[in-house]
Amino acid sequence: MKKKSKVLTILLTAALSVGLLSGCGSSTASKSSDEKVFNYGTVAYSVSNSNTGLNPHNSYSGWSTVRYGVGETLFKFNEKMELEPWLATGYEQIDENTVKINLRDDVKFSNGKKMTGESVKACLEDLVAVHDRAPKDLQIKSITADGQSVTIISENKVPGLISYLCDPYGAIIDMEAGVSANKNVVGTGPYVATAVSDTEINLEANANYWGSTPKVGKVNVKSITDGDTLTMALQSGEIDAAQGLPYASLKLFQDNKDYTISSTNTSRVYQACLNYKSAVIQDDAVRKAMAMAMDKNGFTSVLLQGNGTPAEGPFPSNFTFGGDKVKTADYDIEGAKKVLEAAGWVDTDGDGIREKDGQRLSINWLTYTSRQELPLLAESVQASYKQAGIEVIVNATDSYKDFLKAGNYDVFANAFVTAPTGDPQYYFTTHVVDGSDYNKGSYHNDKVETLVGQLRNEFDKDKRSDLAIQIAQQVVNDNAYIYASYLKMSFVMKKGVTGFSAHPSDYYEITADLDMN
Amino acid sequence: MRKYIGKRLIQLIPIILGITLMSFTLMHTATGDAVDALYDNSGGGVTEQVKAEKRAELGLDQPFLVQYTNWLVGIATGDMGTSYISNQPVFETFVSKLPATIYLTLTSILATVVISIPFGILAAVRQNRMTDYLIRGMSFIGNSMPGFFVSLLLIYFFALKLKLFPVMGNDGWQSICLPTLTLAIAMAAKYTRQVRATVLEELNKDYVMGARARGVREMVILWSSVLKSAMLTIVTLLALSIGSLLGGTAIIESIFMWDGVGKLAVDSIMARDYPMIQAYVIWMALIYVLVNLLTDILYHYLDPRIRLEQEG
Repeated sequence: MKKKSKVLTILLTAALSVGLLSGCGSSTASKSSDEKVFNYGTVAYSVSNSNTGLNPHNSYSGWSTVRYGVGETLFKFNEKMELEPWLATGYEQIDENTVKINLRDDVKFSNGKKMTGESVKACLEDLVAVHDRAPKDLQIKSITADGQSVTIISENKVPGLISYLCDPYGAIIDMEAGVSANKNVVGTGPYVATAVSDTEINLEANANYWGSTPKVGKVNVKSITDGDTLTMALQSGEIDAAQGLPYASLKLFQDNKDYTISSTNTSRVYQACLNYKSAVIQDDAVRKAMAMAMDKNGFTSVLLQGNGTPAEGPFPSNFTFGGDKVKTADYDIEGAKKVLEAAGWVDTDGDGIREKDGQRLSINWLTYTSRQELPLLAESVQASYKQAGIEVIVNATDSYKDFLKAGNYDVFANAFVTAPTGDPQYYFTTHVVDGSDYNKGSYHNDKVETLVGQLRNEFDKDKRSDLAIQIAQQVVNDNAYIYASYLKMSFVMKKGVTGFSAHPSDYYEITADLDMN
Repeated sequence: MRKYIGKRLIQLIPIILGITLMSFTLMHTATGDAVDALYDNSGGGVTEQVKAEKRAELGLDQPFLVQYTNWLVGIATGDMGTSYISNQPVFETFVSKLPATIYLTLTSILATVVISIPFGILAAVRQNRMTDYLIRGMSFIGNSMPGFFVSLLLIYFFALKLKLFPVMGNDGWQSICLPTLTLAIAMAAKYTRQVRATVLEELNKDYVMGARARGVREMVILWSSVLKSAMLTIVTLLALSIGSLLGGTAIIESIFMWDGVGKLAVDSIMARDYPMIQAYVIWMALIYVLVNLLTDILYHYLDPRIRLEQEG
């Protein structure tokens, strides 16, 4: 009997030891890269964002190609939004219309084929043939390839050509491999997509990657458009990291030892575009008072709970032409009241709202709800403008385009990425010049027209910065746009996830540095 | 019966034509423009000339009736067109979303039946007793809570706290449990009361009293006679629910990331993706007509009076 007990004890001890050892062996730390699977939930990948699929030559899908590590561009932005070579080694500006780009010699597509001047030429030619925005941005007349270099000749002077090539539509893909039926492509990035759908992308490490070996074997990018679901998926451990959590949920992960947060300021600005077709907006005093009565600090610190930075002009401070280079009026309710009174806007009936010549100072504030910050901004101005005697009627609707077209609004508040290519020209040519696509308020200033004309032709980086500051200052002086705040983008991830951080350009997410410990 | 089914299927043609014409008219009288929406979604920055070319390419520059006729001809030849947003064939995109919606519909209806019929009968049999009050109370609560709130509660308790089911996705049988339960709770709450009311009505009828007088056991009366009569009402309600569920449930699909037709329809409406919206309209018309037809056929077998009327 005793002997039996002894044997049983030994067996149990052995079993426990094996169990414990195997338990240790299953920890993430000792996992090889092949075994590591990174599940990533994001609100940014969806049909409504026009970025599903991985074909960079279609709509905004290039953002997915670059964000999820399948494709890379010839140049990229660093943390300071300065240009750096990526698939290229550098460029030479031959003349005002010609630029020669030298390519790395060690880059292979994920199918093992070498990236050459010819393959880059084929890719860029397809881009300008089929993409909507790229031909207008790049204005390419011809491309020639010679070994590991390409020479681009543009129709007109395009000082921002290299910056435009950093736009994710410029991701280099193998055109011989083409685009598959499920919108997959062969790129040069650290990951290869094994499955692509409108709701999920499954990635595997690229065995032919030219850079450092990816540390994680598999990555699953999941589109999770509901903020609560995204929050609970991260809490339950179904995903390892999340992008686009609601501000209210971020608090759950802040100062929590199980999670890490990576945040950065982006050039996505929340702005109010004033409609010059509206009689009340044509009054300089009204626009000035509106600019003075916007409580940007209160909006970012209270309503956005610190997830934003008060804005001066269209560009944040990480740009040489951004931040406090542009001066705006301080938040000053008493000052706004004086400006309005001097212009004849007085509260005659004692209801708290000013009138002039029988017209009530009432502003129709048009915005939309798909960006959670915009209805909050509307609430903020509704409260602060009322103190100055301005009534704000908020129309937060996702059918805002119908109202824009009909012109039934005084202010249109929206979110816009002002410098997607690190260059200021894009914002000005789409927002402040006559007939530009986003100049919904029909703003016009002769000086601005002239300065933007100069910017279009200026190659010198410093002079471009100076011009950008002058234009932005003029727009702010005219109070044609009121800039409320810049978006602070945050990634929340489980403790142990490294090499995964928010980038001010919003382009780069999954890289070869991603790791799970 | 075959003649009857044939007649009903022929009636489907004017219904489809009427509904599609109506939806086509509504879409074209809306102020939003499909091409504007398309380019706004892809970042804008294109000239009016490019937009005009795109309108011509999509046939949107043609008169309304020409557009409708072209679309009808396309449908008749099996071509539902291409999505303005994804550039994918409408038919393939729509069909790819259907299995998820059908799967969720079937499980939700099954769960609803499994919950509502026993509880409804129990409440009727135990009328005005504690069991009845409890079931009616639960039914009241279930009816009062909006679907999105129920779904968040279920995720919180069953996925986050108990870790029994995943929060979202469509991966294995566990994934279907929470969306099914969310839909079933609201429907079962409604049907439990309906089953109770119908069973109570039947229990007070003369044939039940007669059966009791003849000494037939209560369980036999309940299952063989009462429930059979009550099934007519239940089947009608279920048919309407199936129609509605097959049209997708956008909120539930969004919360659970269940990739079905409901979410697709809402996304398409927001983006003015006319070909996709029209496909959805046809689908809705088809399912309502076919589900109603199936209900009528079921009546035929469940109720001898209807059968005799049709045969007469």
